[in-house]
Amino acid sequence: MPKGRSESLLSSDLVVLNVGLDIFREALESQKVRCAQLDLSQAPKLEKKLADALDRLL
Amino acid sequence: MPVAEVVLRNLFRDSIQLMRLSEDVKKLSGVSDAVVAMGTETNRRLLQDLGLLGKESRNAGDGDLVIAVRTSEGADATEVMARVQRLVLSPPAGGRGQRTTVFHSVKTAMDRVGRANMAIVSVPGWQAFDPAMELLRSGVNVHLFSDHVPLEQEIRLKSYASSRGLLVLGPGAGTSIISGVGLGFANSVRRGDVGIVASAGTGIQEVSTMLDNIGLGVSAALGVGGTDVREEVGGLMMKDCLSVLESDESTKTIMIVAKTPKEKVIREVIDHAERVTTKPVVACFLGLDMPSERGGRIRYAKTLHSAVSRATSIAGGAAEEAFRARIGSSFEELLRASAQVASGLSPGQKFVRGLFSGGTLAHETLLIFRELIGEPYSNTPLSDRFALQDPNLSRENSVVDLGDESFTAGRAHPMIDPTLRKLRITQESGDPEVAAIMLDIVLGYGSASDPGGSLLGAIGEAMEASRKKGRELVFMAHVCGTNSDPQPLGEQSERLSKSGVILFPSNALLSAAAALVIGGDAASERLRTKWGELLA
Repeated sequence: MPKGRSESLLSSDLVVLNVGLDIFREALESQKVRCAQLDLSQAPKLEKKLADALDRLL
Repeated sequence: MPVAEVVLRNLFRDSIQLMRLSEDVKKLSGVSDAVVAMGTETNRRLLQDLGLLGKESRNAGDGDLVIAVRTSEGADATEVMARVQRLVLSPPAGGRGQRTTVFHSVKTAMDRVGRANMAIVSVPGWQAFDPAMELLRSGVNVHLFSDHVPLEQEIRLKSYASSRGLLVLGPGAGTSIISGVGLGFANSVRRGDVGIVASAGTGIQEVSTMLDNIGLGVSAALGVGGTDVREEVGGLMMKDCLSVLESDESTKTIMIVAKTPKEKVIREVIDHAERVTTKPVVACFLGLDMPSERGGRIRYAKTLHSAVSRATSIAGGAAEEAFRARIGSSFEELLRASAQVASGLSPGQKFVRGLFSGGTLAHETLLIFRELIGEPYSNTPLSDRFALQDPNLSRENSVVDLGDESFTAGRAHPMIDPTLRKLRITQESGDPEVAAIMLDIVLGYGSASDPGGSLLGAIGEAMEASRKKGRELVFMAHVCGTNSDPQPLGEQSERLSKSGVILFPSNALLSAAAALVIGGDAASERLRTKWGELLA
């Protein structure tokens, strides 16, 4: 296993993306963890366009 | 009172949303009882038990959403059902009724919350590969709660992650604790210097809460999922996690917990541990005979209770004292307590029924029973000969894992939704040969808001019904949790105790005590000789 992001994971503040059940995001919020709800099954066109445009700009 | 029903074909809602919808529908005026659920076999059986199964729902399929409502006296069933359908078909909201911003790309989500270093994926297993791989490609570690991910996909995800220094915890990873944060079903435990890697979700909960309760803490707990220790996967993530814990400065002791691992894989894991770690290691492989001690740095334990005891010995000092005072018991003490319980039983009461929500805890009980009173029947048996033909019907001594997929298809896990366990308590209490019912009460993030309290009604009614028939039904339980949990341990324990439930500080002690209650002198002789292996 090469050194990667898991090496520093245990000593970092967690920032979590939650894909699926709301209860896990709610549990994270109750622990005051920075988190966002993510649904990768259906990207609305506008958000996709925005992400693509941002990619081009940045 | 009349029952109204509607089946909405090919409409999916996840089990947590459905449980919450059922509760919301029950609160509507004109509704006396209701179930909103997918039309799986388990749910159709539940509808039948509640007297809510109608013609349409009888023919519902796994992908159909069933709404069954018993209307109150005098209510207009058509009007009530229209209101119920409006509620069910409104877009799902978060648990507190708030709308949540949902992002549709990893990038836009990270623009909002910052560079993510972990993701929890809990979509159905057959949908999990694509989002998990996308997250890994974005450099995000993944806690994969979803189960039933095809093995070939699991291997691809783990190989990709391992080659880039990332972790895939799961599939089927119920619990992890990282940087003091609980992921999935996890308890609020103090931070400390014991690092845990486990292929056993409630195994992590049991050892981490016991460590907390004796003043020790957890640096990290990494759940790799049960399939990681299959030969095809070869313990890939368990080995990577051992390397991560070795390089973590706050970890001073490493604990490995595995449920039904393959011996070949475990040999490789142990070889890896000997090669890459320099710290003391406690290894608990439930269901495998302990390998012979090699070198002395790796200490083996046969139960979760013993694993914590070994970790306590390594820590020494106040921890050893606290373990003796708060968790440890002597053979004589347990024998006395069990004899007192057994003295109240009628001659015909000779069997015990374990109704578990935690798979690892059920498995530990199966192993302890096999040592002390012979293998019990189960829906997750140690050997095929003792498989319950119908998981809904116990026989003789039975240990039932209600979190097994035979019970959770289209339903929330029993740690979240107590409905099936309450019905099963009522069912078991009607059997005059039952002496004792064993329960695990698992607290923590993700679990129900009142895990113990939600069962008290069913427990009280079962005790009362048995008394009326001239027998005492004994309830024995272990509460797996801490005082920092959202449902504090002390409060939960007090309410259960006041209701007459006999509590034990570990699942292993609960199991041994239950075996003694029904096993008599033969069980006590066996326990005397095996005490050192199981409970010291």
